[in-house]
Amino acid sequence: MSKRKRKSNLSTAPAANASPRASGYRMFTDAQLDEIHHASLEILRRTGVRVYESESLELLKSAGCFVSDENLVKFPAAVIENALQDAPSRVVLCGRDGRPRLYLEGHRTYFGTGSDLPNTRDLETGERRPSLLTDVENAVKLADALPNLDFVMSMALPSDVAIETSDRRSFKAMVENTVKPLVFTAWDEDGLADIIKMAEAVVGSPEKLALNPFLLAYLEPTSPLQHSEDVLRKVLLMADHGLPFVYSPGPVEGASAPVTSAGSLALANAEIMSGIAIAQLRRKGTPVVWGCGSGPLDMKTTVATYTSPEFMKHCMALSEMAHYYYHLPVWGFSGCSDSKLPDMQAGIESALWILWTALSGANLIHDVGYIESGLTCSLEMMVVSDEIISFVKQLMAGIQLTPETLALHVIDEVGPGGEYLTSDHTMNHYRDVWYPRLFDRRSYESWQEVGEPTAVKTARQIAQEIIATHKPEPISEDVRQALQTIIDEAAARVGVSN
Amino acid sequence: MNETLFEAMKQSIIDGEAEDAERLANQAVAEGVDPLEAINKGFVLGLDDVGEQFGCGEMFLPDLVLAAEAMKTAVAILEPELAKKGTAREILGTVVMGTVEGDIHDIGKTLVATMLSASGFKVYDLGVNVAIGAFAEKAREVGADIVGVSSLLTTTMVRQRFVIEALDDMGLRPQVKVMVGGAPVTRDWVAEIGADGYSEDAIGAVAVAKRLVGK
Ligand code: B12
Repeated sequence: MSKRKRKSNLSTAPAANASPRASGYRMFTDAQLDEIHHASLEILRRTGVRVYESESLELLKSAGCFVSDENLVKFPAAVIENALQDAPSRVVLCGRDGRPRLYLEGHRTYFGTGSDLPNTRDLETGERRPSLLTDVENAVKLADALPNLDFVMSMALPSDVAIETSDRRSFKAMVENTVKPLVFTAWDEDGLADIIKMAEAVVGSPEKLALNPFLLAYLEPTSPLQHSEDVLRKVLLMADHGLPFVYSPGPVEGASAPVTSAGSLALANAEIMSGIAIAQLRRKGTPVVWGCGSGPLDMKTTVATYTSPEFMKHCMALSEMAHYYYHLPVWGFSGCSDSKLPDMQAGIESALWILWTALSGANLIHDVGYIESGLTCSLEMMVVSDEIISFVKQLMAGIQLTPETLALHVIDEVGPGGEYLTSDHTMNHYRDVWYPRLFDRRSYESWQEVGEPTAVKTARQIAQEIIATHKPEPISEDVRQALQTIIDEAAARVGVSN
Repeated sequence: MNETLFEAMKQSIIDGEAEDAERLANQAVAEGVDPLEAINKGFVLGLDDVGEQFGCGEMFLPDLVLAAEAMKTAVAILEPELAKKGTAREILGTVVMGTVEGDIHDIGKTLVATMLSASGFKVYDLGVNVAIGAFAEKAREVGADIVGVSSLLTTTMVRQRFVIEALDDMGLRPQVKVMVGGAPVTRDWVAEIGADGYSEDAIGAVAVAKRLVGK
C-alpha cells in the first residue's frame, strides 16, 4: 500500500475545457443553416429594421442601406455579409488580474450567473423579498468560489440604493467580490461610460482594458426588428472602446415574434446581424458575441417562460448558426427555471438546460441560479447548478482511450474470477471517477444519522458557509477609492445620495 | 324565441367565429331585435365565459384574442343601429395606457390594452417610452376614467409616481383613477404612490378596471 502513489486532491471538475470537441449532435444540416441565413437576409431586405439612433443611421446609409420613413432601414445582403467578415472569430476574457480565463471560440463552454433580479430568496429565512446590494455581493462571492462557474453577473438588482446609479454600485460590488470575468448591464449610455471608466481604473489604462478585457456588456435589441436609441448608443460606445459585447434580442414567441421556432429564429438572427453590422461599420473588428433568448409566451399564464423545449431548441439552433455559419462566439442560457422555489422543478429544468447547452457548445452560458422566470435569485440553485455543471463536464469529457485506460494488462493480471479492488490500477485511477459534493449517496441509515439532508438543504449550507468564509482576492485601496469617486460623481450628477 | 339567437351569439364569441358573429348580428338587425339586448344578452355573455375559462386554465390567450375580434365584428354591425335609435352601447370607461418613459417593454402593456378593449373599455394606447406629461395630457383630452401605466424596470417604475403627480397638477385627480403594472410592481409600491389599483396579469387588469369605474 505504501508504495502506491496517492493523488493529492479529489478533483470533481475534469478539465473538459482542455480539448473541447463538437458533441456530434447537430439539429440542422448545412443546407438548413443556409436557409436560415437567407431568410434573415430577406427579412432585412424586404421588411427592414427600425434604427432609432442618428449616428447609426448615417453609418448604414453610407454603407449602402436604404432608409425610408425616417428610420426604416433596408439592407442589401452585401452590407451585412461584408460587415460580418470584420467581426473577430474569438474573444478572450481575462480576470481583473489580467490572467486570460475564457477563450470564447470553437466549442469551449463556460458557465456563469445572470443579472438584474428584482427579488432574492433569502438564505436565512427562505422568504422571497426585494433584492439588496448585499445580495449582489453575496451572489458574486458565491460565484467566485463555486468551481464550475467561470464568469459572473450581478444576479440581484439592489432596491436599497438609488436606482439611477445602481448599475455602477453593482459593478463595484462585482469587481470587489470576484476575480472571474464579468458580464454586466448598464441602465444607459452614461451608466455604461462610468462602468468603462471604472474598469479602466481597475486595470490601469484603456489600452490594457481593450487588450485584456475582464468585462463584456449584455446588450439587447427590441423584437420585432427594432434597435432602440438606448441600445445603439451603448453599441457605439463599446465599439469605440474596442470592448466586447453580446447582442441578444429577447423575442417572446407569439407576442413579439412568430410563434413558430423557425420564424422566430430567422427574425432574431436578422436583429442580431443588423446590430453587429452597425458595430463593425463603426469600428472594424469590434469583438462581439452572437446571442438570443427566445421562448414562447405561455398562453395560459401570459408569462414569458425561461425553460421550454422551444427555448432550448432555439438556443441550439442559434449556436449552430454561430459556430458553423458565422464562426463567431455564441451566448447561451442554462441553469434557470420557471419554478418559484429551489425545488424539484427547478432542479430538473436546470439540469436539462445545462446538459443541452453543453451539447450545443455555446461559449458563454448565463442565467445559472435564475428562478421565477427571471424575477428571483436563488443562491441554492447556484450551488445545485454548479454540481450539475460539474457532472455534465464529466459527461462531455467522453471516455479516454489509451492502453492505460483500456487496461488489458490489468484484465489479464486479475484474470477470470479475480478482484480489482486491491489492484494498483484501481489505486491509480479511482480518483478519475466523478464524485458529487451535494447529491447524497449514503445508505439509508447513515443518511438518517446525518439528519436526512436534501440537495436543497445541503446547497443552502454550502452557500452560507462560502458567504461567511470565502475571501475573494482583494482589490487595492487605491482602486477601491477610484471606483467610489466615479460612483460619487455620478450620484452628484443625477442628484441622488446613496 | 330570441333565446336561441342569444345563445348562438354567445357561442359564436366562445368559438371565436367572427363570421358567425357577423351573420348573427345581421340577422338580429333584420329581425328587429333590440341591438342593445343582442350585445348584452348575447355576445357579451360569450366574452364573460371566455374570460372565465381563461382564468381557470381551460383556454389560451389566442382564444381570448379571437373572441375579442369576433366581438368587435358584431359590435361594428350593431353600433350604427344603436345610433339610429339615438342610444349608444354604454362603454365601461375610457382608458389611457402606455409604458412609461425610458422603458420599451411593450408585450404586457399591449396585452392589457387588448383585453380592456375587448371587455368594453375604450382604450387609447400611447405605446412605449411615453413621456410623463403625455399621460395626463391625453387623459384630459379624451376625458379618461383610468390611466394605466406599465413599467418592467425598477428604474422606470419610479416614474409611475410622477404620472400620478402630473395628473394631480392638472387637477385631474381623484376623478381619473390610476392603475399600474409590470414585473417589479408590488402591492407596497402601489400603496406608497397612492395608485388606485394594480394587477399581475391582463385578466386581473380587467377586473381592477371594472372595479375602478364601479362596474
Ligand atoms: C422580453 C423582455 C425584454 C425584451 C422586451 C421586448 C419587448 N418588445 O417588449 C428586451 C430584450 C428588449 C428587454 C430589454 C431589457 N430588459 Co427586459 N425582460 C424581458 C422579459 C424576459 C419578459 C417580459 C415580457 O414581455 N413578459 C411577458 C408579458 C406578457 O408579461 P408582463 O410584461 O409582465 O405583463 C403582464 C403583467 O406584468 C401585467 N401588466 C403589465 N403592464 C401592466 C400595466 C397595468 C396598468 C396593469 C394593471 C397590469 C400590467 O399584465 C401583463 C399581461 O399579463 C422580462 C423577464 C420577466 N419575467 O418579466 C425581462 C426584464 C423585465 N428585463 C429586464 C432588464 C434589466 C432589461 C434591460 C435593462 C436589460 C439590458 N441588458 O439592458 C433592457 C431594458 C430596455 C429598456 N430600456 O426598456 C429585467 C428588469 C429588472 C428590473 N426590475 O428592473 C427583467 C425582469 C429580466 C431580468 N431579471 O434581467 N427585455
